[in-house]
Amino acid sequence: MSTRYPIGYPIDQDFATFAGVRPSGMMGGILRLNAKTEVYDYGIVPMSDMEVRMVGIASYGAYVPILRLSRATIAGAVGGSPSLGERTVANFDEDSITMAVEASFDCLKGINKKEVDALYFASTTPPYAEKQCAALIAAVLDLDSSVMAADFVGSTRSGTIAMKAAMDSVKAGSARKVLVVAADCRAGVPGSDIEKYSGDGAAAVLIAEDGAVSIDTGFVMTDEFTFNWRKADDAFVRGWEERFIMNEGTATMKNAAAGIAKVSGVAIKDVTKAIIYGPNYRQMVAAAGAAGINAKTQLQGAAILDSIGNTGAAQVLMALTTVLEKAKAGESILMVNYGDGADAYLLKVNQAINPVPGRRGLSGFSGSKIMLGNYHNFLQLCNLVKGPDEGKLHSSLTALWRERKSVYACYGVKCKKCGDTQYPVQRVCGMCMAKDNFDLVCLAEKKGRLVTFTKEMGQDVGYPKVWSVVELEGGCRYFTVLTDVDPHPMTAESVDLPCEMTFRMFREAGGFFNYIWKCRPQRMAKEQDGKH
Amino acid sequence: MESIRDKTAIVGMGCCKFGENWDQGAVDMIVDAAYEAYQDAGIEATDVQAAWVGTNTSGKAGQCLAAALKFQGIPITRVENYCCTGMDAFRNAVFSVACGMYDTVLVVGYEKLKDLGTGGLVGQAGAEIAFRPAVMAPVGTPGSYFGMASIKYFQKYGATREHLAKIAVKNHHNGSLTPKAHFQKEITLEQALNAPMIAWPLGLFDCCGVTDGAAAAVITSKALAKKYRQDPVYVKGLGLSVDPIPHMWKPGHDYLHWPSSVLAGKEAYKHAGITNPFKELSVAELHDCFTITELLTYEDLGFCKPGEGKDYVDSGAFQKSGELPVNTDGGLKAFGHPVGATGLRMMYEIYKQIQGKAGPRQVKDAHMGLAHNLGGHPSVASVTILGR
Repeated sequence: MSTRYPIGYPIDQDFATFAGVRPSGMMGGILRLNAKTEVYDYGIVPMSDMEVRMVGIASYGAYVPILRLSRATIAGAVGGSPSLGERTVANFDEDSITMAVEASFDCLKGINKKEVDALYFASTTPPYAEKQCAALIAAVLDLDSSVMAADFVGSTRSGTIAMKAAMDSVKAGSARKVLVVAADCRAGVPGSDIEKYSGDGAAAVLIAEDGAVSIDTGFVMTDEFTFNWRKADDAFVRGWEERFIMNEGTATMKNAAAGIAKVSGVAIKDVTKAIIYGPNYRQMVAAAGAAGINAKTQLQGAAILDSIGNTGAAQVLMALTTVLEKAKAGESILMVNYGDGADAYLLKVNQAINPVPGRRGLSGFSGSKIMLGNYHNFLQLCNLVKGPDEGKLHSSLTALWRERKSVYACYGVKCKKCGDTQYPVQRVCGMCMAKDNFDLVCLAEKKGRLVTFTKEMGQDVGYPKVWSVVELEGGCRYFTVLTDVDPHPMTAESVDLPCEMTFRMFREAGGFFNYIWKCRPQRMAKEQDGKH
Repeated sequence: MESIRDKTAIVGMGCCKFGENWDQGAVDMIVDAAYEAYQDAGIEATDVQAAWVGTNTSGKAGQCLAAALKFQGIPITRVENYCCTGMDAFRNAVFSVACGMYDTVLVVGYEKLKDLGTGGLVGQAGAEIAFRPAVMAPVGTPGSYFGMASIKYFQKYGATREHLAKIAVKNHHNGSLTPKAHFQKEITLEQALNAPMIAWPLGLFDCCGVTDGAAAAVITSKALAKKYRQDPVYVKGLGLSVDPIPHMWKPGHDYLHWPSSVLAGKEAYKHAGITNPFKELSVAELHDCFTITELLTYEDLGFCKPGEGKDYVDSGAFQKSGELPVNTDGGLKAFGHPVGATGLRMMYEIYKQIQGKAGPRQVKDAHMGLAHNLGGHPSVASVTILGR
């Protein structure tokens, strides 16, 4: 028995208050408590007594970077045990914003964007301490300006906290559909387990009233326990002794699991599939066992730790998308997350989420990869080895704002007179000189083919630069540095390579991140060869 | 429209030693070039009635020339038009004399690149927004534009890196005969082919250097030309063409030609009355910022048909001993490319060739010569035809 509180349920209300552990987070209308259902039974409000508005998941999306670093390569460079598997690595032009954009586009395939009333972005690594990332993501997604946008930061649990807020919004009737997108690029001290077992990635879920997958019950606990932390100006996530974290920290997840079992009346052993947060495989399996989850028959998402790594705020949502990819009607899904407390959700699959053309999910992205050749490449990508300082040019924020439709939402124009499509937005057609006679065309989700390219040599990260001209569907020429590509095997035969658009960072100067649209070779579900 | 042909003449030219002029500032190079031109024309600085100055990044406004040469209040205009900067400054100076407003004007082109601490051309915020107005995005590098053209040309016409290497070998040979060139060493085909890649498939010797330099010309009217000297060189034709869209963004662009070169050439030929440039020209200076640029320009200016450039390279047609010697002074390959100076440096070679003063590089009976620049992404081309 711990000195802080007894491990396991039931939670005594007095004790819970004393311990800072308070069952709250009732799904089913916490905002619509009626007088006769005053808090009772340890503060838990039964679903049946509430004005019930269904809430669930209407769509999902995910993204992982194309770059991978094998843990054996890490061990080869810094020593330590040669662990199995590999981790994903954000490319030099990726961060949690660009990955969130990718997962969001994936999630919104086939969705009418006008029905998305809110966008919640969750991350422990937002590029900005001040400036809302969700607003930028909304601009790139070309969501209406009436959208409610918010960043949920500071905790590995931010992804499900954002999801909970989204559920509450839908339940309250203040939003029809809420896009929840979580993305993280967590960095550990070189040579540390955090570095080795972390990964970069993103996941998105669309919370809606009429979701194919309903979220019947939730259970939220907040707990002051310092598990991982990072000061605003620190580069690396830090952690305390692992055994302490396992015994006294992540163990809280068992309370959340017990809580939701109590609230829902569904025993943990009876759920079809279960997801639980884990900083690494060992801790995930231990936490699952403590929560009563059968690691062999129920636990999902452990494979992500092996092939991608712990993606922090995005981890359980990424695992959820893999479950949703294969979900069948009638299944139940338990999802438990951790960070400054714990929360648990019980999902019911009413019907499979229909496949949508173009939506790739995690499985559609994880098959394609480029292995980093060595640990030094990884340090370069993490900005831990400084390359030559190229001329750093400040971007004009005035100009960016003025051209936001082209820069962020990726609009070009199609001339009504001659039919040519040009990027960015023009006043006078470059081909036929017609003035102000265009239709706006969004190029963000266009596919294309490589017209020509060159490989510009250089020493810094991102070289050789594959300067490229891509012809997008509809005839628009797009000039770009091809990203996520192994330039070395490219030859004249590479002309006509299928490409697609991707939102990336162009440069940082004056503390400002300038994002633009680039192109990359189309990510295929099948394995790609190559090294970086 | 009237022709510009034979309305004006060059009566003096100067060119400083091109190179990594660590010990010279822009002013030193301008003074070297301008005073050589004064001396060549037999004039004093005080005879200059108006001046034009071309620089891409090394100075602003007319004052950059006034400050260097201490002109006492005469009108001076700075011109900037990417790599056509020097030639376009010349073009505008010619207009001022042709219209009769001035009798004697000076044009100077210069660039001081080696003060910038970099081995390449430095990007500029202003340049970045030039064609994607206000959109903050990479504009590419010179190597990227011409590397992208190379593989298209290779694919379409079956040319190889060896054709490009032959152009490099030719120009470096010519440069070895040119005392003012930055690089005065011959290279072999193997050296060119085995050099490190810069912008695949362009290797080191497919690219021109980053260099300091300045060149100058004194221009007067046809009526006055012979008062200055017995062998003035007349302006026969001028052409300039600016593209509406950089080619990377232009729908359908084939990367096998540069429309601005074609149009600038046509305009200049019309003025000069040239219908068969390969036969009628005695010598040409083409913009060989990259070897592929020279190759495409053979075709763009009608020296041969599209796709034939590589065959003419193989036959040696553009060597010093060939039918139409190109880049007899070594071109940008040997001189480097101080942007504002390059056009005038090319004219300096044509001027000397026509006067029969090109020494070991002299082309037999050079009576009509052409100089060509291509600049931007590419976005602008200029052609100047000079003759007896």
